Amino acid sequence: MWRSWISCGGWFTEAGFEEVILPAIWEAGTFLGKIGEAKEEQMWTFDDRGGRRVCLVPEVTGQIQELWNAGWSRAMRKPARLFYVARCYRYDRPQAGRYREFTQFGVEILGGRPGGGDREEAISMLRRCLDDFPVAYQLLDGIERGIGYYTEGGFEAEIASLGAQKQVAGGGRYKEGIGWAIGVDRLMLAMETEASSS
Amino acid sequence: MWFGAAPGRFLSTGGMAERPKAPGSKSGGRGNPLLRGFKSHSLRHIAAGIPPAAMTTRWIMLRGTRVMLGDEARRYVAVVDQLRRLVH
Repeated sequence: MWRSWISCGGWFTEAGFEEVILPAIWEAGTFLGKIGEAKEEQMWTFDDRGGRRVCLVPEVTGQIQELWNAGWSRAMRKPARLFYVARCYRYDRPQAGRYREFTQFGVEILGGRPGGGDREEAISMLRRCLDDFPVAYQLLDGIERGIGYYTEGGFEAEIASLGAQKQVAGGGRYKEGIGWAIGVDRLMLAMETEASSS
Repeated sequence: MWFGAAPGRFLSTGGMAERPKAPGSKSGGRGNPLLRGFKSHSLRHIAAGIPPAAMTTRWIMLRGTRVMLGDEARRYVAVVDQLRRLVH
């Protein structure tokens, strides 16, 4: 598993992607009104000693959008290609494949020109990543994902052997760019499930 | 460019960090010399990787947290990988 992720990072870098490592604690307002009502209700939010409303990050795309709008869009060569491995947090009912702390591996392509092929590139990267693992997945395109910042139908990858929690990756286009994330914990679970059933 | 910044450890290709103390500055003449000339709210934006020219009054990052990108992220990952290889 770990070896696969390292090789994944290798060709990501060759394709011009830069790794970004972001804080796990962040201003709560970045995510409110953007990620969808259900996910906002699951956020770990609290006031710090300075009275600031902060949260453990429920996802990464919102952080990257915020940083893009705050300065990266002027400083970075476009399209900017980023990837990340991040611990994320949601106050959800724990069950198999759904944890309160989980890891997401994701990519974001920001500042591309409309029709410039970033959607095709993003989906191709997702397929190439999932193909690196011994799992049978199905990619669904043009679906409503229920996340506020998406500006068009998104895409998801499902692994049927996971049952109710079968979504293993999801992504779509937003104002600043396009991106997706793989749920690493679910991918691991799918590998274990498919290995034990074969 | 202002990336991978943390208080006292930000990266710069310009000379802003060495400018003289600004009127009202809380950091001028004291503390880390790289931070002289910036007001405290400015430091928060520098820590967030935001260019000084684009500063706003809104904060998005807690001071002391950091965004690592490019060479800084690669150095971090290399150190973590090396430490992991020691135990696996």
